[in-house]
Amino acid sequence: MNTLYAKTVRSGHKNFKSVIHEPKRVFESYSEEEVFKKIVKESKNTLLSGYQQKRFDEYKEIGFPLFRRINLNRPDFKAGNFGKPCGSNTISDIDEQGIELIKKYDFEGTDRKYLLMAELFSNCGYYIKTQDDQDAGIIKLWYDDTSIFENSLFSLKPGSKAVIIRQISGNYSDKLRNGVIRAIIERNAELVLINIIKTAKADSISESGYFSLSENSRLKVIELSAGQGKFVSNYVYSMDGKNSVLRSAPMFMGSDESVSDIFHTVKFNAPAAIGVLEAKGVLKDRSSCIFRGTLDINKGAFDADGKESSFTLSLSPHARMQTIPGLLVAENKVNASHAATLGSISEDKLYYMMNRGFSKAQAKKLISMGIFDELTEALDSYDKDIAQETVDYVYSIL
Amino acid sequence: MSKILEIFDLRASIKEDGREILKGINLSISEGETHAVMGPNGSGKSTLANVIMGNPKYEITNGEILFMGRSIKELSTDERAKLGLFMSFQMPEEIDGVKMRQFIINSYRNVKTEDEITVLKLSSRISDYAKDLTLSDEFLQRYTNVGFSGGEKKKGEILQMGILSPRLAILDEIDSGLDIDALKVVAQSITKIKNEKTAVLLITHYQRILNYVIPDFVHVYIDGQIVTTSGASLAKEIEEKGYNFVKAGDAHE
Amino acid sequence: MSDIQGMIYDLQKGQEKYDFRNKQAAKSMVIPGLNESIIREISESKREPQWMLEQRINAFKIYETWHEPNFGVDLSDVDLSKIVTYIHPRYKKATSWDDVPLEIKDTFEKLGIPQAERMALSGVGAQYDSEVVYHNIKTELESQGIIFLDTESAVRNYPDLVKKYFMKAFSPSNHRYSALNNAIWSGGTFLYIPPNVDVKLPLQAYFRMNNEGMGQFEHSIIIADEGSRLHFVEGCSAPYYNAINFHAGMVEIFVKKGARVKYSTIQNWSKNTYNLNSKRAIVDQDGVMEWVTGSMGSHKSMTYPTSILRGKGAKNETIAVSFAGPNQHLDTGSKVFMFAPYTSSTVDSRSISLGGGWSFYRGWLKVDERAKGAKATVRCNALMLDNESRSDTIPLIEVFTDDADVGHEAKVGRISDEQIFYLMSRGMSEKEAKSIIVRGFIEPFAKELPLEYAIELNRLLNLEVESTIG
Repeated sequence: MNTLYAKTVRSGHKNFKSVIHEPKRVFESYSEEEVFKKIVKESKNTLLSGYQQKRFDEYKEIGFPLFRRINLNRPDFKAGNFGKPCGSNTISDIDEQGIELIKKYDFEGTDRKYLLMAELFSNCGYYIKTQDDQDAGIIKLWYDDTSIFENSLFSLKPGSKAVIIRQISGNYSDKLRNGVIRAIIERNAELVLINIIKTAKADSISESGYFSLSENSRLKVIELSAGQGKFVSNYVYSMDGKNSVLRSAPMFMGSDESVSDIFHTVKFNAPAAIGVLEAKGVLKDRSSCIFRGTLDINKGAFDADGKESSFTLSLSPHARMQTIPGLLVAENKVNASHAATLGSISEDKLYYMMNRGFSKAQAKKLISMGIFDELTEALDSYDKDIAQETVDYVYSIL
Repeated sequence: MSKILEIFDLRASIKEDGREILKGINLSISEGETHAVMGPNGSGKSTLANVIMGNPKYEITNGEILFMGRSIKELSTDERAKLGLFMSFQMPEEIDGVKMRQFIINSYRNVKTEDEITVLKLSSRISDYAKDLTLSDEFLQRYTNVGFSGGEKKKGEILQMGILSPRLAILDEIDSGLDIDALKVVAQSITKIKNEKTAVLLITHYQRILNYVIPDFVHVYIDGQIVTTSGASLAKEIEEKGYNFVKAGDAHE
Repeated sequence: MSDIQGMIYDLQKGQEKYDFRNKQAAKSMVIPGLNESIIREISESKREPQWMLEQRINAFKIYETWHEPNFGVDLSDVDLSKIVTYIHPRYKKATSWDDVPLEIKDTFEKLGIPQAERMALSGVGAQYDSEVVYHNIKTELESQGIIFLDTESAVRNYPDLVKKYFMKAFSPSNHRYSALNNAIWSGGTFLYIPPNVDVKLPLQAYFRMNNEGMGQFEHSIIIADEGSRLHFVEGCSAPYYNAINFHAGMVEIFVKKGARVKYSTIQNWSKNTYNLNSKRAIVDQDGVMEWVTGSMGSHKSMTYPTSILRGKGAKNETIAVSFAGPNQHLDTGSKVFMFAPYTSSTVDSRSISLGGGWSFYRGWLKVDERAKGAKATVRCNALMLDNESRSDTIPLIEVFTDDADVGHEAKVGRISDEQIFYLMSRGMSEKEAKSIIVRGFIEPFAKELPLEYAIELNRLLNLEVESTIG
């Protein structure tokens, strides 16, 4: 199947081309063909397996990418449990409408190889579809440590609402955890997505996401990625409808020798959309993080209101932070800006707090906790237990 | 006395969404007269000023505007400025990188094309006028309107008005945001040009400035129309009783 | 660009050692007819010492095998066929006035450029006669011990001094075009300012002897010894034209302890040119480097004035303006590397795009672990004058220490209808209003230039804006 999938980075303007870096690739075999044949045979959903078969050819032709900054674990196809449902609303129950959405919203993800892999070998994944005007309430998605290839689709019908909380806890012991999620939010619908992603030291996690917002729809994404492992994510928010509103707040916490590569892009494809992307994080020890936040405003997206910012607090002389705020504009009647601040806690602030009885370490912790305020407050309003767990977790790492 | 500005049954709408703001305005200003247009906030008083000045945001759907006897409906804004029309902006635009002094000199050259006054003389005139408005020379070195306080912005507009000496000065809410001292200084400048036979159209919500600049006529503007016209005392009545009491025929003549 | 290890290695160990990235010949950008023996002939005709010849050959080998940059403009349409003819010592450089494009001649006319200058700017016939100008300042400069000549003469007359600095800010393995320049360079300015000398007059390439118009592969070196001060201006805003449409020039600047160098460039290469420019300054303790860069011409450009702050308290100030008009793709930016404590940097970059042009800002700010107490700010402002153009800003900011203060912000905007209405109400026509706003937008850049440049620049901008907006 020769789909033209949505590439993350643009490479041209009129008759000008631009040079884009392509990662080197290596071909390694993990007997995927065998595993895949088994999946198709055992699949109870012919729509899904039919779709997957068409993708396998493309998957075979692409090598594993060698990223410059991060070295991901290799996948373990022997983990098995493919097609095993992990709760209700699983992807194995996907219907024709759902398949059409997956076909339509085809994209690059963290890398084409990883995206296809997650779709072909998914052994967990949810298909959540609301009814028109339904308030689906708070949905908590469950994963265990065998859930290593996720393919999920959230289809929000016009006027509906949902709050989805995903908790991905590490411990995939040397395997790659590879997930793809899509959220198609139709007219006037609203989705709040909260991701809590924890990596253990040996973990590698890849998260690809595609979000399409129709007219007057709203999306809020709050994410915490923390831990000692490796995390790569690529989220594309496509503002496809007039007056759509996005707020995305990716938060990260690096410790020990963790490495994160977080890439979020807001694409403005319709007039008067509002897109706010605000990343915040804290880095300790020898951790490193690269945050790439891009606002991509296409011609015709007039009256777009775009704001991107990243704020990083460094708590250690060996932590490494890189940020690439991108502002790509082809429409001049817009309001767009980006900002990045990197720094440490000022001596004055610390002194003030010590004057009020806090030790230096306590002061640092408290100030850093403040960065994750938005997450903890949001969680508190949806599920107090998860909120408390998360606060304790963050506090313990800090 | 010759007529400076005549407006006949003027209707105008916002181009973007077609909403009608001016719903049939009639107004006549003669040489040397001072007219005040008062009305509740949000009623579109500024729109009247902007339409007279040719702001492309609005579209005239009916009626006529004559300036010194000739129709100006089809003229672009700069052409109207060159004829002797001036409007002080409620929120003057920031022009980064262009110093105030230079900006005013450029404007003068554009509007008063026949005057061959030297840059030095003109510059000195600007400095003097600025002083009268209690603005420092340093003010003239700053980029036009960039980082100006509310009072400085309004004084900047009056400074430009003073130098460009128009035939009709339309002052859009010149008094908003001014403290009592600034108000007095601004009022003095307005009185000065009145004495030079410039006609003035003062658009305001509050009556305060009219204590210092006595109007010949006061018009009350509500919802796109002028509902009543009277002498200066009308302003005082409005201050006491608010706009609600004013309906056609209710006010004392 | 080499990675940071390579860069420090290059700086500290001297650049004779490098590694070939891949042994296969890079298929693209092969220069027809260029080979070792041509390079030998070039070196001989310039009467160069052995070490320079060896460097050229070495660099040429690197060029042949190195990979293309993995970012930036598309170079597949560059015409490299005339290069060898041009750089060969036997080449007669005279172009005919008839070959100069009409558009260029028109601009000369509108800007009121004197006839003699027009010839020089288009590489036609006789060189610009700088003799008179040069003599006037020559005595003054010599009395202060300043060495100011073209690079080739400097290699012959001051070989030890030149050897100490030539290709010490760049190594041929930094990127393919630094290798190319190292191999086939010719012309350029060599300037040495002795300690504590304050050069009050801004020096320009125009002033020196043997200036043969704008060279395509110039290699300039400026050394400001301890405590000295210098302002050097390169280029001019009038367009310049040459039959060869590919330029890969290089400027290496050494700002020693406590010295201050301001390097201003206005580039307005003709609109068919590919301009790949390498500019780097190495700044020592308490030194200050100021880059003032205006890019207005060329069809495609890649230029990233770079400062490497390696001494404690070293400082960088960059103000850059780029103007991408119809059929232009300008990929420009600023690179600042902070390797020492208490270093600081401010970057103010402004870009204007109109008529379908593409302006791309690509910056790189790196604050190393050793840069304790570093402070850096970057501000990018893009003005899009219409809906046909693009303006992209993608800076990379790296901070590897917890004791630094770094901020970056960027905004994109246009001339609002309100602004135009305001200016028109003060008697300006719509065109004039737009020109004024554009000039105001680049004012922080224009005010850094010597007055005659600023005036010419303003006139040129008016021309460009008014003709495109129409």
